[in-house]
Amino acid sequence: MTATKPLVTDGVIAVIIPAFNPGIELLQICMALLKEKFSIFLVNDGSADTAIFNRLSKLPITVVHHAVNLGQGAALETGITKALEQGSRYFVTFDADGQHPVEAVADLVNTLVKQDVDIVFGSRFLAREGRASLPFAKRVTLKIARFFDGLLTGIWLTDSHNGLRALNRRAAQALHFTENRMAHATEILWLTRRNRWRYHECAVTVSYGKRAQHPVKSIEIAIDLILRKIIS
Amino acid sequence: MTPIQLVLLFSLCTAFFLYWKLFQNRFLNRLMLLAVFVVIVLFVLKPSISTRIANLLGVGRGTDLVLYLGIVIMAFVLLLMYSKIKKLEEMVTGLLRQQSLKKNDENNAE
Repeated sequence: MTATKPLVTDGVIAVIIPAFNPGIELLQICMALLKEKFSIFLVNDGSADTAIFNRLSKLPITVVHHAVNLGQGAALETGITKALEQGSRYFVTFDADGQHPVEAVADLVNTLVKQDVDIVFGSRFLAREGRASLPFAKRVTLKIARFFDGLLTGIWLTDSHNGLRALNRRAAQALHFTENRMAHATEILWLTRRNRWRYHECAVTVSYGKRAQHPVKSIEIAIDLILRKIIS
Repeated sequence: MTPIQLVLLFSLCTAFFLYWKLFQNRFLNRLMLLAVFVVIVLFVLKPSISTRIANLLGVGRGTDLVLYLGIVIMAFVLLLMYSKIKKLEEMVTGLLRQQSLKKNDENNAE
């Protein structure tokens, strides 16, 4: 991973964080992101306890609240819509659970600018330290998901279910999910293909704490996607 | 008339009247409903008809034919329902998003 300075100036990079019942670590994430002069768009996706959001709203960040839980894809779209309104130029999607390193934001945007693409996908498989951070079961699930996504969308990434992505305005404006929940990771590949977005991958590391997605959940997502493919 | 015919006829009539009421001011729906109702009632009262059709199609018994067709129709109805739910979900999401963003704008204006 490169530790180069972002090629772009302050305020034009929006970091979009969907949060559903986030832990206290979100506070640290936001502080670290603010230090880098990123604009933060936090979407409270209908969390039961809003105490943490009250604390967060004292920081110079934008907090949008969903009245009910709509899902991560829907929350991302809300955050991106808001960031577009505010005139941001680059849009980075970021998880609220502390798995994503703050340095990844600059890496992704740098790749977006340098490679002159519309969307950059973070990949845990491009760098050795990224691969090494993955538990075995997770690695296998991700490889299966990647194969499945490749078959469904024709876009073969090394790591298709990574929450870290960067979009330019062109991609952000066209982004519209019909899959509200986790299946949006595959839908974004469909969108990439349909809209002919130029895309690139960028190496990122992810650290795993206690909150990882249960493998059974992946099967549910797969069924959602197959049904969807049949209908549309 | 056998007991099963009575049971089926009674349930069919109930369903028919409920749908009839539901389809108020919808002439085409009522017409289709009536057609389906007449065919099913005919099949219940005269099972030999369905058996004759079944034999024409290479199926042994009329009841088997009805079962096969029923499963196919059910599958389509399920898909239809699923896509309707999807559409509703999209609509609700759009509405909620609009409301969330509007509320955020209002809070900033204060």
